[in-house]
Amino acid sequence: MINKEKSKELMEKSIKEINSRATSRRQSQRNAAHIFQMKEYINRLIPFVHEEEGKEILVKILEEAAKL
Amino acid sequence: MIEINRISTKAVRKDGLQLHYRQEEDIYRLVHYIVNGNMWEAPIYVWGKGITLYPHIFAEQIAAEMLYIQQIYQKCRGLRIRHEFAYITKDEFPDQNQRRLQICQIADWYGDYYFYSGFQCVYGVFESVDRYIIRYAINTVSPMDGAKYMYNENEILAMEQSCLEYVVGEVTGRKKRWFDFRRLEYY
Repeated sequence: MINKEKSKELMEKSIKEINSRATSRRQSQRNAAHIFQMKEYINRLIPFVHEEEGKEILVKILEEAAKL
Repeated sequence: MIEINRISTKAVRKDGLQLHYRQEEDIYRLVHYIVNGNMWEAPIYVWGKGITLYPHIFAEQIAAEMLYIQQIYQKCRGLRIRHEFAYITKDEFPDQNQRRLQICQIADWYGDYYFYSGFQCVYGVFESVDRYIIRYAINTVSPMDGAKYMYNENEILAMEQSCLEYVVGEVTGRKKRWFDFRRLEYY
């Protein structure tokens, strides 16, 4: 039990939320490279997803990325 | 004839105004033209690399993304967008039933050149009487590291030319040259 709780805590700590609000310029520069690549790979992925749910999820991710 | 050409410094419009691609409005106008065409011509295919294409291709959204990249890297001076076009005459395609499909494949594949160099681009394929024209609008600031694209160097133009010839040769089946995409920076 103790180990499980510890691992949970570790998981929570290791997952950082993406701060999509106003951040420092340096941070947004770092984000830009990831977003640039992410957008392209999702754009390539979407035509191969035939299930509607998967497509909706990817489109949502893309819309979120477009806001950043 | 396969030729890559660029008008990056200015474009003279019919009413005598000059676009220098240095203002925000010029970026929007160029992207809008490539995505939607104008009164006389419309693209038969539009796509892009490293930009938002879903749920629909909006010129405003694409221009805003390009401008945002320039703002966060504080590189809003000088040339802000480049306009390159690839002329490919119709006699390059051996099978005339396949050429509309093949020109779209060429446009996509050659678009990878800019993506793997680390630059955003939008492109549209325009059809003319004896040739296809692929117009590329390329953001001059790289989202990867904020580097500006070199635009006056003959070496880069020669590399682009050889890449285009390689791509056309591979797609149409008339192999002429070899170009290695792995030599690009962000492959």
